[in-house]
Amino acid sequence: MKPASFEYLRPASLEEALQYLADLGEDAKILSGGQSLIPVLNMRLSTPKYLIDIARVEGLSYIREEDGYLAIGALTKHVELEQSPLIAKHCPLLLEAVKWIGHPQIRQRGTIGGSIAHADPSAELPCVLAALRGEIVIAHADGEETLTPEEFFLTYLLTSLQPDQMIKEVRFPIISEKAGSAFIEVARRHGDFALVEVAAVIELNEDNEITLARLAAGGANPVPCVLESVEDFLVGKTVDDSLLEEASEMASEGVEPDGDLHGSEAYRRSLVKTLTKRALRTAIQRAGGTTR
Amino acid sequence: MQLSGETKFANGVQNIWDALHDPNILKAAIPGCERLELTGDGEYDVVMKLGVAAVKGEYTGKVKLEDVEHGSHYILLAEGSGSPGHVKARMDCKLLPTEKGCTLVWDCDAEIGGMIASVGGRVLGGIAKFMAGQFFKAIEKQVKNGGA
Amino acid sequence: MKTMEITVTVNGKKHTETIETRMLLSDFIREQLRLTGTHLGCEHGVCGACTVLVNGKAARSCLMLAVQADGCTIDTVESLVKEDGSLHPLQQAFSDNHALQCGFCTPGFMMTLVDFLQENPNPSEGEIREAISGNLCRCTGYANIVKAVEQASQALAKQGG
Repeated sequence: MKPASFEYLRPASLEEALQYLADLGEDAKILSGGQSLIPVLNMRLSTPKYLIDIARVEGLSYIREEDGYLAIGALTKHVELEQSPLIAKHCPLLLEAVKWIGHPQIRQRGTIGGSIAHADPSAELPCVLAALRGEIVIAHADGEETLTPEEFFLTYLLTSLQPDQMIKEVRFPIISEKAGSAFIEVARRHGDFALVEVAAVIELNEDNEITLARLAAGGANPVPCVLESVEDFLVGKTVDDSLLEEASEMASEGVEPDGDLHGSEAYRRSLVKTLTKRALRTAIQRAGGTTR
Repeated sequence: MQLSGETKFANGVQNIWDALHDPNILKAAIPGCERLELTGDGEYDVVMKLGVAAVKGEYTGKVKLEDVEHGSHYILLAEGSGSPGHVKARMDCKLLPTEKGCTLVWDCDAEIGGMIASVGGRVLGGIAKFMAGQFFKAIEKQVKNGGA
Repeated sequence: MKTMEITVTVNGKKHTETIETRMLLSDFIREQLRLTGTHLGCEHGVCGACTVLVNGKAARSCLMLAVQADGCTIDTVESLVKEDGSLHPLQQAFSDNHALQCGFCTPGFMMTLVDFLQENPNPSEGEIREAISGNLCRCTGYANIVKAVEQASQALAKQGG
C-alpha cells in the first residue's frame, strides 16, 4: 500500500500554487495536511501525475475577526482551531465540533481547507459551516469567488471545485455570545468517522421564546443537511419538552439517509431524531433557557 | 447495487424519447462522455472519462437498448471497464406522459467491481444518483434549446 | 520532481538523504534509516501503530510523505530507552502491568502517550481512554494499558519530568 509515483511540486506562494493549478490542474491533486488524501494515494484509488504540496505556502494559515465573520485561512490546522481563543469566544460551536475530528494525531496535521475540499458529508467542519451559513472563498489564477455551502457541496466527496481552483479561506459568521450552541456526534469508536452528527444554535428572549435557530445534520444526506423547515418551525415558539419532541421528529423526516454496513437508513434516521433533541436541549440550556 | 429514481420533464414524451435516442444529444449529456458511436440497431460504443471521489479513470464500454416499446419503455444494458474497475448495469426506463410534460421512471441494477468498488456502495450510489441527475438536466436543456 | 533531497533530524541525529518523493515517512524511518521500531499496521491512518513525534507532537507517519518532514524533528520509539539501557517510565510501566503481548501496537501507543503525558501530566482514567482511542490493540483489551499509563504518569511526576 504505497503511493504510485508522482511529480512533487512545492510552491512557496499562493500565486505559484495557482499557476501550477492553471497549467496542470487536470492531472494534479493538492496536498495540505494529507490526512484524507494520503490514505487515498496509499491505496492507489487516486494516482495523480502531479502532487502540489501547499503546506508551506505563506499567508494561508490564520484566524481573524473580520466584519462579523471569523475568517480562517485554508491551511489552518484543526489543532490550531482547537486552541484558538477567538474561536472559543466567537464560535463555540466550531470549537466543540473540532474536538470530534478524528484523533489528536489527525488534528495535528489536518487542515480546514483539506477537510472542506474533501467534502465527506460525515465530516464535522462542513456540517458546522452549513449550519451557520458560512462561506468558502475559492481562488484561481484569474481571481477569487465566494460560494455558499449549498453551491459548493454537490454530493459525497464531490464539490464544485474545478481543476484549476483551490480553497483559500473559510468564513464562519460570528455567533452572538447570548446564543447557546451544541455539537453532538455518534460514532462506533471515539474518533471514528461520524455515523450521524447534529449542530445546533439557539437564541432566546427573556420569555424563553426562540428568536434564532440554526440546525444541520451530517452523515444523513450526501451533503450536510440544513434543517431549514425545523429552524423555521422553532423560531417564535416557547421552549418546552413537547416542542423538542416535535422538532426532532420533523428533523428525522427531513433527511434522506443512504444506508451502509456502518449504519442502516432507519438507524441513521433515528440517530438524527435523538441527536437533534439532545443538541437542541443542550443549546437551549446554554442559551440560558429551560426545558420543562 | 440497486438504484432508482424519477425525473420530471417539462417536455412531451415524444421530445424526450427522441432526445434519449439521439447519439449527439446523448454524447453531450452523459457526464464525461468522450465518444459515443452508434454501431448497430440500438447499440452504442462508449468512452467515458469519470472522476468518482478522487478515483479518476477512462472507461470503455458498450450500451445496448432492448425491449423497446417505442415512446414508452426500454431496457438499457451497459457494460464498461477501465483501470479503476468495471460496471455492468441493467436499467429499466419507463416514460410516462404527465400534465406538465412527462416523467421518466428508472430502476437500475448495477454490478460494480474492481478498485472503484472499495469506495463503498453508499458513496457510489450517491454519486451515481448525482450523475444521473446531471444527465437528465442536460437532456432537458438540450431539448429546450431545440435538440441536435 | 520524482526524487528529492531532504534533511530530517531523527532521534537527535541529522540525516540528509535523497529519496523518491512518493516515499512515506513511515517507510523512510524503517527502510532508509533502519529504525524498525515504528510499525505499519494499516497504512491508511486508522490503527496508530506508526505514530511518531513530528516536531514534538504525535502524528501518523503513514499519513505523511517523507518530503513533508523535510526540516522537521522526528522522535521514534527508539528514542525512549535511556543511554544506560534503562527503560523510560512508560516502557517500565507497560512491562510491569503486562500492557503488551505481541508488542506490535506498542511503539505507536508509546509515542502517543509521550505527547499526551506532556500535555496532561495527571490524567483521569477517562482522559487516558480518550487519549489512546486513536491506537488499536488486538491483544490486551486495553485495561492493562490504562493501568500502565496511570503508573507512568505518577513515575514521570516523581521524576519531575
